[in-house]
Amino acid sequence: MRMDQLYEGLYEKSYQIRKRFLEIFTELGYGHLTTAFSETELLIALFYRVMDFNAQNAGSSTRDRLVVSKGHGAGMLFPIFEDLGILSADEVRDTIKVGGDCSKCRGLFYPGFEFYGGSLGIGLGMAAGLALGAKLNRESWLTFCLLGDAECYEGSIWEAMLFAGHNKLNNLVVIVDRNYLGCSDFTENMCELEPFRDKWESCKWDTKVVNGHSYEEILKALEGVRARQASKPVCVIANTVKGKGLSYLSNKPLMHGYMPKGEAVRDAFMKLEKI
Amino acid sequence: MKIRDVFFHGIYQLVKEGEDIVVVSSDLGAPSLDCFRKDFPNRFINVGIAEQNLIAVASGLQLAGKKVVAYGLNPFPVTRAFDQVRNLMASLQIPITLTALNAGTCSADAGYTHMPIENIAVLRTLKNVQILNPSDEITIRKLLREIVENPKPRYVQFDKFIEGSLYSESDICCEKGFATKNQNCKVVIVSSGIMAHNLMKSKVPAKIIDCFSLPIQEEEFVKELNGCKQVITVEDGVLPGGIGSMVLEILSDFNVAVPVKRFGLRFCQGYPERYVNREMVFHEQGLTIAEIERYVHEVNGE
Repeated sequence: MRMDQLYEGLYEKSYQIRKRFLEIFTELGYGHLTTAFSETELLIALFYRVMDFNAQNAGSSTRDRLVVSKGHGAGMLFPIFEDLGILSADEVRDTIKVGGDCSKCRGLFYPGFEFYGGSLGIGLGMAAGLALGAKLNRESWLTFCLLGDAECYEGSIWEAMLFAGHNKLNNLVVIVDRNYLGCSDFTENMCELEPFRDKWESCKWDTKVVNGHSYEEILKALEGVRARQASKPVCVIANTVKGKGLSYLSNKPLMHGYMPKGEAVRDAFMKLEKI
Repeated sequence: MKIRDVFFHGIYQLVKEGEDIVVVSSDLGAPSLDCFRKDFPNRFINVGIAEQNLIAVASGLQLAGKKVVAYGLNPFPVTRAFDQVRNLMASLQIPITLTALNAGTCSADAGYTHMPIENIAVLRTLKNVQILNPSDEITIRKLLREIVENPKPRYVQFDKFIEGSLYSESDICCEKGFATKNQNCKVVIVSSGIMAHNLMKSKVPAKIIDCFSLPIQEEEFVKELNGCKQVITVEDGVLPGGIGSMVLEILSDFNVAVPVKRFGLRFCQGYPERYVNREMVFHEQGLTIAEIERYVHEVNGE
């Protein structure tokens, strides 16, 4: 496949996955749309191009592990799982409703996807434990961890950053969804995270900075990740836009828990953009 | 031997026998861990004074296939890291063994900060986490077998003043959660940890129920109260949510009408503002064996 065809296919996937997310979660009337749209390309890149992961054998012991620490973004996993054939449309419908049966979903999180996040700040330590476990077991799978930037205010993130750097966990790949927004305000207004990259590097991490909506940049940053010679864990700071794909919701404080309802649902579908 | 050392000697032996156990510590060692660290350096992981990371890393290692013992200084693995305990151990049921040095007031001389006197109360609010407050070393030996044969989320606190055996192996049933002494007495004392240890070694004329593992089997517990005229609960911890509260809940749920007197830490005058040790706290809070004995005699009309 030509590279331009590959990227074209991935951007089309982005549009379809965002659209399906809207269908699933506007039906429920609850969810974290803007955070899910912020990370869409990151999750698609991981599941479709980067991770050693077989949807037909999701519990395989040799699979790469993914810890979605920013758990309010976990909703975006559902359209992806459906597209990969891990969950059927019926199973998604039966799960994402009041009284829905989450048992199959739970089975996917543990074991399979290791963790549901949402209690922010927990996932990086777990991912570090997984990566260390793989090393102790002399196994070659990688651990990926998706963090939100505003999640990085949690002290437990810094505990884990120090630990992973000190222990040279070069089989650990963190991607920070750097959309510069928390719930109530921009990160740099609340409490500056910058110089963010320097902070990771001072904790003995390799870093890369990419446009988190550009498959070209994401895949380039992650293409050699399995063959890294470095003795450090790597953090990819992915600059993103919270609410990407719906301009009228993008990059605005206080839209963290917004989900269109009533008339606004039709409006959202009409305004959904390809990126 | 102190119960913590019984535990870590046991872990050393299990690893020697081929068990795939790692110990994760938040900057805490023990003489009994020295040989483990020397002989199995890759199995001793130190996260530093970072209790939240202690439990998160331990959970990740468990998911990677290890049997994991996390070890920290109480009360911090519970109070500082309660959210990790709640989400990883109680909700996701990741079967790590969280061990913590100090129980109740055993380190009162280090100040209120180092007294895990609320731990049992707060952990009782979580389902799926077994809470062990051992009163002797046989309980620890049973626990070691359970860690290998029956992994589940567990919290174990080591009282540094408890050493030696009170029981034989057959007395300890981890599912039941309690052991008894002096079957024929009409006054029943319910306790655990250091208080159960001291009571079991005393001559208090009462049946003693040592709830070394919570939650206990409630039906079995209620059977133990047959013919009982007074229940006394004794705990080295705060009263809300503790052993006394547990007994009152069970009696209420099973419609058992029997008077209950609770002994525990009330701190009616606030937390101590003087330098204290455990002996002084026990004395001031009426938690001495002499005080409990006096009360039992009063109940018996003696």
